[in-house]
This record gives sequence, structure tokens and C-alpha cells, in this order.
Amino acid sequence: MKKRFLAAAGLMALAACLSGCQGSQGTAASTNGGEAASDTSAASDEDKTLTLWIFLNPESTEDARSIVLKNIVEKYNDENENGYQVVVESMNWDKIETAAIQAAAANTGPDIINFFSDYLQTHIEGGTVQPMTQYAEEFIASMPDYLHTADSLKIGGEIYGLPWETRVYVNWYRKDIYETLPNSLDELVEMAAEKTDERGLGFALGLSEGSSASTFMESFIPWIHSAGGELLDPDGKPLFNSDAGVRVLNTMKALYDSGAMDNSVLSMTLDDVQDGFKAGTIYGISVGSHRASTLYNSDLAENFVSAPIPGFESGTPAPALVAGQTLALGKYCKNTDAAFDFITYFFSEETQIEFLKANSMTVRSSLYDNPDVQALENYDDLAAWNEYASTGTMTVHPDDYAELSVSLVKAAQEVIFNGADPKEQLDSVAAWYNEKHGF
Amino acid sequence: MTAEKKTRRWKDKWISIIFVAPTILLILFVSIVPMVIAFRTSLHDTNYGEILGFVGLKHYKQILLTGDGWNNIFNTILYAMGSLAVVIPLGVMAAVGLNNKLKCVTLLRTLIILPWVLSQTVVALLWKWLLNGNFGPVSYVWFALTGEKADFFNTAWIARITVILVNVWFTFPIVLILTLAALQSIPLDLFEAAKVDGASRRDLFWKITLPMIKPTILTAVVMQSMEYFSMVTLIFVMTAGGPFDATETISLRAFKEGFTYWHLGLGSAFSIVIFVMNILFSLIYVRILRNKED
Repeated sequence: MKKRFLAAAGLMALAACLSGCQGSQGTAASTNGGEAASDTSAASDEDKTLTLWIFLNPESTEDARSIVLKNIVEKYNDENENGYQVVVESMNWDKIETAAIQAAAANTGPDIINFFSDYLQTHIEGGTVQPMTQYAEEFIASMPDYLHTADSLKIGGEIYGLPWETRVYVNWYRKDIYETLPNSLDELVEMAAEKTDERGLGFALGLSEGSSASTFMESFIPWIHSAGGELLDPDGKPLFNSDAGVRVLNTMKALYDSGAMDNSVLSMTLDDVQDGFKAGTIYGISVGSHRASTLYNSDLAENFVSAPIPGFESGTPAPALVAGQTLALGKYCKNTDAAFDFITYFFSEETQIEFLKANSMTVRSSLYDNPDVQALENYDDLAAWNEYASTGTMTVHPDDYAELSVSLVKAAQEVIFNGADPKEQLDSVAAWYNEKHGF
Repeated sequence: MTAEKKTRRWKDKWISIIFVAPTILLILFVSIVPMVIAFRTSLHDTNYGEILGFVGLKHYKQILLTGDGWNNIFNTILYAMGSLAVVIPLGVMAAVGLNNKLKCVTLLRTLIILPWVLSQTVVALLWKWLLNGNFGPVSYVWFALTGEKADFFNTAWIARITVILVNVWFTFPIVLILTLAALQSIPLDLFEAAKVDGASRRDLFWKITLPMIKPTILTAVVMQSMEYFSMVTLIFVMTAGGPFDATETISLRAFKEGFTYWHLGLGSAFSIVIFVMNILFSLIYVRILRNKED
């Protein structure tokens, strides 16, 4: 108890010392405190609310997925027989980990938490979630068309989260600029250099360390897979400092050297890359399928086309990088029965079809055969992404994935912009990672 | 001393204590206790929120005996001093200007103060968009004029200057407000008497106005300096510390280590370094300004 108190106080202390950062953290200001996770199925008479922390904002109409969330919450609040009401606390997607871990250190947190699958291990290690194995196994068994099996979701023998959507990272091109799409990464370099003109870049990878270098990793991982390499081995040891890793960095450098990209990509995050594409100053980018709704909200949308990320071998796309938004029970959930009951609402056919309409790929494979889905305007995109997604699997990354990503993008920056040796840079990151983990 | 006087003094003393106590308690629990805990945390290894074994000065060595740590310290001093060097003269000059009887003075004051009411996040996003090398309006105009792309965030020194200038735009209104209040409290008799004695406008400014507002300037310098040393959001949103760590200040590093990578011990050590720097620099400002006064 004393350690817990000190940990929470330590977090508060650091926050207090960093007075200038108060506005940036986006922490959940009000959370309903709960007792420790044991016996959490007992409902409290006093507090019948369940808090949900999620990046979507049901008050917003900007993202079609937010409207679906609003409908789910309203439906659950109207229909459920246990008397619970779900209250949504919306926060920026890259602030959820920070807020949840801070809250967990103070023995509190949301009843239900949504996060990106890349950070599952971070939430487990940070003590923000609790196992939901019993609930999940039974639920998955009742949903035979679910993309994941119970075993594939287990970490250390327990299931901690259920992905309710899936996404695959694809390349987006301006079809009025690219008459034909590149069949390989070498071709991408060549074509992108040709397409670059005064108005825009032929292709852009975001190489900023902002947002935990996520946009860089979303290309680095499929590219290294395509080159026959891996990021880490099953024990978590670095494998990226291989010939495959070197080849990836050399190809990224070729994009810069050929003029397809310029210095501006150094400070670009995912949002900058996306906004540049929407504004017509970038002609090719690599972002996830889930960003389609946002991309299509552009005057140039009729010229946008997506395609699998090309690989090093002509005609063979890079193995897909698949991830998804995941729902979990908060460590200090007041009533796990009610909370899991709410989670199941995300997986109904009706809800999943609504998410499909919002360009969010379903986790229920049979829905692609559903006539209502086949009649959707965006069905061709969805079907193509689903087909590409089947070439990859969802990966559980280590809990320090953000730190590793930033170290890797810094190595890439040195190679691409300062002409550093790629092997030396990758070896240096691997040595740091090995030392950190005692490998 | 009569018994009545003693009782009265005793009462006054307790009334004073009652009035001051809430502030003292607030400072104790919101500032002193967290700082003591942060110092304790900085001497330990941590795993997320859990405090592990005592490691002594390991984290401080990591800051003070590495190039990365000194790069952060250099960036912090450059950011704080660079901002102060522009903010203070600009704020004072603008306040002197707005203290005159001008047309539309209220409108001008409102417009100038506007940036101050915005949050750091909004300011950072606004300028990040305006200066974006690919689609920002400033870049668009620059390209139309020069035929070359503007590059505000991708070269180390330009990025450093850019974040300082954005910070100046954001924070100089508070210096202006403080100075304006001080200017309006100077008795007009002083100026009139000096004018009778043949003082020029320059004499009035250097020999009356400036000395009279010096305490306010000192307050502004200390306040702004502390704010700049602790600033995270503005830089984090605009550059995330890049390019090549050129804008990564100590406070930004503390935030990243503490809340992104969960190295709470190291993050706490960085925050203690910020605290020490704040104390040192505040003492330096006070000494410089007092010496000049002497």
C-alpha cells in the first residue's frame, strides 16, 4: 500500500514539477474510483456508471466511427437490465497509455478501456487492465466468424483485450498523377521521383519522432518483412539490424536521394503526411485503412486510390501489417459482468456493419458475404483491404515499443539525411536494446 | 506592555496565522511534498508507477555525464534566454506604446493580448500548420515569392529560432500586461516636474519610467524564465524535440522519459535539474538587477 501511494505520489510529483506540461497530457480528469480488482462483479448500489476511455468522441460528428460509438452507448444504456450507464471519457489516442498508467498507479482508472493493439503489452505491464479470459473464451466461441482465436489473443495464458476492428496499412496514391501503380519498392522510388514536381512530393514517409514515430514504423515493419527480416525474435531480441533492415533504410534513403522526398519529411508525423496528401502537396503516402474516411474528406478524394504496400520483389506486396482497436476491462473495473456485457455490443453484426460503413474493417469475416455489406459504396475498398490483411497477422509488440520506435526513426534520420552507415546505426540501436533488456 | 495590548497582539498573531495557513498548506502539499517525492524517486529505479531499488545518483550521472543530457541543458538555456531576450524588450516597448493616448487603443490592447488566452496546444498546432513546409499558408506565400520551399522545422538552428519566436508571440502579452499596469501606477507629477526641469523624452524614459517599472520587469523576468524552463506542450506539439534533438529541452525530455517511456526515476531527475536551474537563474536575475540598482 505504501509503495502504491509513493508510486502515485511520484507520478504526481513529476507532473507537478513539469508545470508547463499540464495542458498537454490530456489525462482523464474524473475517474470513478473503485476497489481493487478482486470480486469486481459485485455491483455497487451507489455508483451505477461505467466509464469508458476511448479516442472517439460521441459528441463529434467529424469521424463516422464516433457516431457509431454514440449509438452503441445509447443502445446499451437503454437496453441493459443491470441498470448500469456507460459514460464516455474521450481523449486523444496517443494520450490514453499515459493517462491510464498514471491512474492505475493511483489505484483507479476506467471500467472499460480502449487502446491500440500495439500497446496491449504496455497496458498489461503498466497494470491498467485485468484478464478477461473466462468472458472472452466463451464469447469468442459464440462468434465463429471472429478473425481471432482465443489462443491467438492470449499473453501468458490470459486474454486481456478483444480487438473490435481491424486495419491494414496500405499505400495511397493520386491516380491522376500515377497512371500505373508501382509493383515494387524499387519501382516506387523510381516513379515517385518522376512524379515529384514544384507543387508536390511524389511520395512521403513521415520521419518525425512525434507520435512515437508510428508513421515510420508502419512502413518499416512491412518493408523489413518483405526483405525477409523481422523486427524482433519471439524472445524479444532485436533482429532489425540484419541485411533486411539495412536494405529497408537504403530504400528509404533512395526515396530522399532521388528527390521523391525532401527535407520536409523529417518533421512530418502521421497527421502531416495525411494532411499533405489531402491538400494535394504529396502524391503518395502510406497510412492505415482506418484513415480512409478522413482522407476521403478532401476535394481531391475522387483521385485517391489505395493499394497494398509494394514489396522488394516485383508483383509481390509486402506482407500486411495488421492492427486494431482493442477493448479491455480496466484493472479497477467496478463490475466486470456489466462492463463485458457492454464490450459485446461492439461485436454485434449490426454494429460491425455500421463500422464498415465508416470504413472501419470488421473483425467478423462472414460480414463480407452479407448482401447489405456488399451493397455498400465502399465495398470494393473494404474487400481489397480484407484480402490484403489476410497476408499478415496482428503482432503483439513489447511494452517499450514506443521507445524502440523512436530510437529506430532516429537511426533512420541519421542514415537518410546525414549519410550515416545504416548497419552501424541499426547495430547501435540493437546494442542499446540488448543492454536495456540484458540480452 | 499592558495585558490588554498583549492579548491584542496574541489575537493579531493568530488571525495572521489563520489567514496565511491555507496558502502555506497549499504550497506544502502542491509544491514542497511533490518535490521531495520527486527527489526521492530520482534516486531509485522504477518500473511504470512502481518504485524499485535505490540507485543513488545514477540518473543524475546519466544527465550530467552524457552528451544527450548537456544537449538538453544547452537547448533549455538557449530557449529560455532567447525567449526572454526578445519577450522583455518587446513587452516593455509595446506597453509604453499602448500607454499613450492612441486611437483604437482598446482594440489594439485586445488584439495584442489575444495570444495569451490561447492554450499552448492551440498555439503550437496553429503555428505548425501556418509554417508547414508542404501546405502551410506561410510556405505558400514564401514559395510564390522565392520559388523555394520554406523550411522552418527541418534544420537544427532554424527550428530552434522558430520555436523561440512562436513562444515570444505566445507569451509577450503577459509582460505587456504587467508593464502596462506598472506604467499606469507612475504618478504623472514626476513626469511634469522633470519636464519643468528640462528633461527630454529620452530622459523621461531612462530616468523615470524604466527605474519605476524595474521591480515589475524583474518579476516578469523571473516568472517568464520559470515558465520557459518548464515548458513542454508548445515544443512537443511543434517539433517533438526534433530535428536531431535540436529542440529537446530538459522539461520535454523529462516528460518523454516520465510519461512516454515510463522511466520515472530518470524523468524525476530531469525535473529536479529544472528546479535547480530555476532557482539558480532566478538568483542571478535578482542579483544583476539589484547590483544595477545599487
